[in-house]
Amino acid sequence: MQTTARILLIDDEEIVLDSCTEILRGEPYELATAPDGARGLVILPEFRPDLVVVDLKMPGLSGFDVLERIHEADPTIVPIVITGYATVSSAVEAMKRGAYDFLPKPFTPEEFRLIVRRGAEKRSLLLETIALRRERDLLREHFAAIVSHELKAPLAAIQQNLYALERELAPLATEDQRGRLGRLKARVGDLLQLIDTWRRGAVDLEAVKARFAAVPVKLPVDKAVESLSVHAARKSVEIVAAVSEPSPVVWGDQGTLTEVLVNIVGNAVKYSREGGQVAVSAEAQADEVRIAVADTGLGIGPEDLPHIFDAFYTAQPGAAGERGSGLGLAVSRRIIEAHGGSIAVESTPGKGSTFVITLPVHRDDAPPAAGAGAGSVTASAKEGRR
Amino acid sequence: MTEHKRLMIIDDDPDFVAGIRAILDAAGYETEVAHNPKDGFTALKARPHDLLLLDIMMGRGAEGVMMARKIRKDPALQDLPILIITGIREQIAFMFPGQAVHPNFVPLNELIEKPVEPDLLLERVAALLKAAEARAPQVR
Repeated sequence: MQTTARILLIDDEEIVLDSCTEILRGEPYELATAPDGARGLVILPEFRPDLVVVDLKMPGLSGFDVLERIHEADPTIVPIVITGYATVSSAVEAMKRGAYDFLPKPFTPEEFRLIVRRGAEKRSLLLETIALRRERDLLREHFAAIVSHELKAPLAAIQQNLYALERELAPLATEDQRGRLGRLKARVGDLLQLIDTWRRGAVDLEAVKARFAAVPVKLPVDKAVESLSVHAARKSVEIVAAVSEPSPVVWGDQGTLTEVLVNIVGNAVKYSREGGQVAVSAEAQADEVRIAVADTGLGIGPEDLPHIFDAFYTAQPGAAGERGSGLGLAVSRRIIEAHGGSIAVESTPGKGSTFVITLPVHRDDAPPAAGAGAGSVTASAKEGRR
Repeated sequence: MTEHKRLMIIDDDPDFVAGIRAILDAAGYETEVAHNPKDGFTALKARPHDLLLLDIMMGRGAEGVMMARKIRKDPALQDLPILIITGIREQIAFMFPGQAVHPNFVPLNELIEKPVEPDLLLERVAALLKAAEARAPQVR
């Protein structure tokens, strides 16, 4: 921000321009003058004024028109109007149209100086506010990244040493010691994952929305299943994915959709008994894509069911005693809702749960139906478009 | 692993380094450590290394990226394989705020996330060394 305020004076009376220039001589301002609105607007982009003082009544472009154009060019420029033989109505009109202040002719040098000083102060406050707002947005964007880095770095160092120690001590450690090391690793791993989940929840979904594109749901489904396959195999849980061909397409962000599926399918694995199965299916139904994740695990009690999408709500521990952070489902719901979809759950305690994500079909990029079966479902969904 | 490949580790977290170093030493590699990019670069210039394990977030920012770029421009070091080990999710966000993640933000051979499972670490190191040998069978 420059210390010297720049002032553009627009008035058709030469005497006004001259006397105003004279009044401000020796003050910390840089001045430019224009004899009419059109020439004032020509000067505007290169002079980049902080303040524009404009006469309302001029031949050619009226002061009001000039004000409007200035506001379009840069809404932070502070406009002050000079009203010839002031009538209250023209002053009110000028203020209504966004003038910061008005100065009725004739005015004294002191009145002019005062109003210019106030205008310059207003401008610097405006710029400061804008700078602070920008800084705040940037901080918000970086905050989650910074905090999660600070939290994860020491945990990564701990985990790395646990990995190393587990190998080094393998020949010496007792069964019990190995078990404790393994649980330490799992706990630290959960914590690392929790930080990732928290960070995803802090993601600015508006920024994510800005990069929405056509996503065949097969992509996030496959990625999620792949990233969970090792974890599931350890628990002897089988994940079976079935996406109708051709894959239904949604309008969204592949990364966050993958995170949602990792979360929901990961939960299904967590609450499955050893040897259980998790079925992931996706198909288009009319105008919607329905992604279902069904497990045959512990199920969710009726007292927990209404709350499981609330942040920090944790239901009973998983099949191997794991507890969740209570963030995953809340974050997932936020992401799905940002996609214009919804997420619901049905569950029978002891029998298993089915999570259903419903997203609007993306119509234009949906590939044409190829053959029979699920493809024709996609086709009829396409016919039903608006 | 009998021929003692020499690995350079540049990472400003001594505890994390201890964790990966133990795994690499046990596998028969010779390891050397620097805790900041400047010392690391000096050490790389001082004698030949077969592989560099490089952290990204060091000092006041993504100094590891600068380091990798510098190495790629150095005639004596430009063929050195670099394995980046980093808490990448956050760090990418630092470097490209508000942008979709750019996969090739620096010319590097591999990138793995901290913490890294021992088998994965050893597998990537071995693969990079093998690829480097295949590229220049005579040079060592």
